[in-house]
Amino acid sequence: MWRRGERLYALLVFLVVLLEGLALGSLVVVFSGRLFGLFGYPQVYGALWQALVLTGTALGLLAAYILLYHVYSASRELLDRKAYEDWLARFTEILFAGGSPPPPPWPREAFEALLDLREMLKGEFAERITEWLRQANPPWPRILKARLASRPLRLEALEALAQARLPETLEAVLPYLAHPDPVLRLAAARAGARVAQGQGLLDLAKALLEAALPRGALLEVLLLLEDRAEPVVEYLLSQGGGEEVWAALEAVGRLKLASLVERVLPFLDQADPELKAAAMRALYRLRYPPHGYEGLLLAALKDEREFLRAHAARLMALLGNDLAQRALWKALSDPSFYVRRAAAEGLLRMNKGFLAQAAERHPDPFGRAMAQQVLREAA
Amino acid sequence: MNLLLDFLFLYQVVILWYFALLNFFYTLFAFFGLGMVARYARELSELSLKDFLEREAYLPVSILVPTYNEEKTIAHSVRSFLALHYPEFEVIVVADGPKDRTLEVLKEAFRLVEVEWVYRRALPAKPVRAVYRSLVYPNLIVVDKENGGKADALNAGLNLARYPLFCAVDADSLLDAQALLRASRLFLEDDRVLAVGGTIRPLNGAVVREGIVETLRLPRGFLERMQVIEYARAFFMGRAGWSAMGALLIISGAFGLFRREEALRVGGYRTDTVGEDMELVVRLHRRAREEGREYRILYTPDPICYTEVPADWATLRRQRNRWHRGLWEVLWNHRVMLFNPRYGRLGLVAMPYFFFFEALAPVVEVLGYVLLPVFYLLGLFNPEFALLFLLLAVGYGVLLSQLAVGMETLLLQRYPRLWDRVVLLLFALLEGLGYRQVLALERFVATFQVWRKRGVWGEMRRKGLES
Repeated sequence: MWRRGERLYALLVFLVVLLEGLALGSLVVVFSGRLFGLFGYPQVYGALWQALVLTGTALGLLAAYILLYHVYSASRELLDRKAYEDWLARFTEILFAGGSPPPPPWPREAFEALLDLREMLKGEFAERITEWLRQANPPWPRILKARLASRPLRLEALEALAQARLPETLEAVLPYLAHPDPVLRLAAARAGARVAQGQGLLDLAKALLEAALPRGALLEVLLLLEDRAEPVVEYLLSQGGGEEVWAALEAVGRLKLASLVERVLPFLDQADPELKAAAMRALYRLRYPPHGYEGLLLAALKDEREFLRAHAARLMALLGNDLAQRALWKALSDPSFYVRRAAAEGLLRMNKGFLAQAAERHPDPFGRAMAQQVLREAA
Repeated sequence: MNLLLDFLFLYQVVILWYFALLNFFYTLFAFFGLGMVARYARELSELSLKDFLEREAYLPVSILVPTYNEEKTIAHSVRSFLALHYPEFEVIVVADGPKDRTLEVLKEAFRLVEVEWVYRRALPAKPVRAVYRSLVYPNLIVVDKENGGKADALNAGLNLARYPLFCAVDADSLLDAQALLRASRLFLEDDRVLAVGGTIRPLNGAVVREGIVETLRLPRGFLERMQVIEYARAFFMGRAGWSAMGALLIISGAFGLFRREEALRVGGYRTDTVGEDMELVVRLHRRAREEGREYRILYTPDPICYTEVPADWATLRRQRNRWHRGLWEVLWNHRVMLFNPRYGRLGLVAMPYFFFFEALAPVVEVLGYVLLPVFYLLGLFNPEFALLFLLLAVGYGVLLSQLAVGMETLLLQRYPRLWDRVVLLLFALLEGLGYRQVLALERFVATFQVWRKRGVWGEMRRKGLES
């Protein structure tokens, strides 16, 4: 989306703004001075003319820049595109027909083509591309370590490393998780999650604790780890603060990390309602019935916070016993729409006949209506 | 006579100060806006969007589509919403007692069947006559309700919405396929974000296929082209600038994403104003400031919503009249915020700006034109001076428009044909010579109709999309 030449445009805008500010400022000073008899009409006219000339100059500059830049960038982009497509065709041919890539150094378009291929392909082809990238000695780790590289360049380097997935580049990425710029921190966390393997995963987990990412962003990063997530999530569950633990609990459920279920269960007894809810969501997603924690679930069903009651109702259904059935029947008369909905859906999962009874005989008319609706939807 | 002369000169100086301050603000917006758009564009990562789409790290969204008499555009619009690239969303179309065939068109196009639907009535709204679901699209819900206005329809939609985020869109709009993806991730990455507004572009002239904008071309009509420039200026300068300063007061009703719980907490949309979109945003700001919470309300330049802009003077004037009345209504409803340090830069900068330089601007402008003959009759009119000043005012306007056109065409790569760009630059020159004055007059009239026409919308004439 962003084109080269943005800095020149920004500089031009700055110049224009400066010119206009000067013109306007002098006009205000001269007009105000005229009010107190400090300036005569000739000066007022002069200031007005000056402002007009400056505005005209600024307008001419801008219009010329816009048109000239259009002509330049249109032809330049055509050439860039052509180069990219040529490299893409060349690499694809070598990849499928066999052979070695041309010896480096490669231009920027070649790296772009190769990274796109790496992103697209899996398995053996992906490994070959990774190997080619490694042999080409790409500039990105050096950019990250350089003192004078610009922020956009660093962002580009982090993204390229994320696509390249070279595990040995993790050490260049990790320091950025402590960078004061939150955008670079997040980009580094994403890159780290795509790159990290083996021992690197624990290093990444430790760095994530220092990164202070917002919990949603942290969750995104954990999900990027996919089947490598377990040690990182486990570390965050045991060592993290509230935000990290929340993200880790969410990740357990979404990535279906069933092996961590024992680490999740104690959070049902958490004082922090957000963490308790996250634990309930995780167990529900894992479809794990929390036997032995019935008391806590019953207490959560009576909690004053609606979201806890709704999550407890959903999880309760997994128990599949009489206790759960009775609790959900009762929850059908909960004042909250969402709790009634969760209770009805839970009863449907456990015992459709029982839900049908609720649709006919439940003392609460709202509970009956909800049971009827869930039955209708199921049908 | 001398006293009168001095008074009139003082009047001119005051007007000049006003002009200078207004242009100072515009310059500030240009500066902040450009910085914001540039930063956003550099930080946007296509790779992270792809990751976001492929994994479960998203917040599901309810798209609310209030509709009245939109038989020509509704099927296209709903198709475009259903074609969005987003892992989990529902589309809730609220037919607000239409008098035309809107509901029938929906029933035919999406094979709707009536269902009995139990939902939480969290907000008051006019009675719902029926709820329909589609046999083809499981995530489409259509509500038929008694007419109560756009805000009432949105409240009815909010009652049915299930997801943590909701997106309010106009029924004559089309969303860019990635619009939800780009806007919603801001909520995920920052819990403090309450609302996000995107960029609105005129749909007129675009090539649309199956509800998706394939090519963006300049429309042929004079008014439509003018609005292309106006929208670019309003979004890339105004909203981007205010957002960068943390004081964004307007999220367009055509496309805005909100946390549902937050909107419910402040009581949903107000039904007694025609500026319900701005009013909700101001109320969210106000509540958060009063509670001393950390929060963010953002504009983001990339999620694009295309909307059909008026192609004739009558509709355009009605629209601007309504917008201006809406602005006055919001300022009046939240007058306590004006110059109130409790509301930070909102009370000290944004609200005063909207009062003096948006609400009162047409009054100042039209009075200026009216006083010209008065000055002439009094023998105080200096034609050369007046002409120079007019040229300067027009020049400043053109300059701002050109800055916005530059951002739109070069940095964001829209309207890629050379001829389109030349036309935009030329039309920027024409804007101050008639078009602007007619709209200023309409806004001037609207200022005096605020109380009499409270809550009155006026009809929008639609051409429908060119497929």
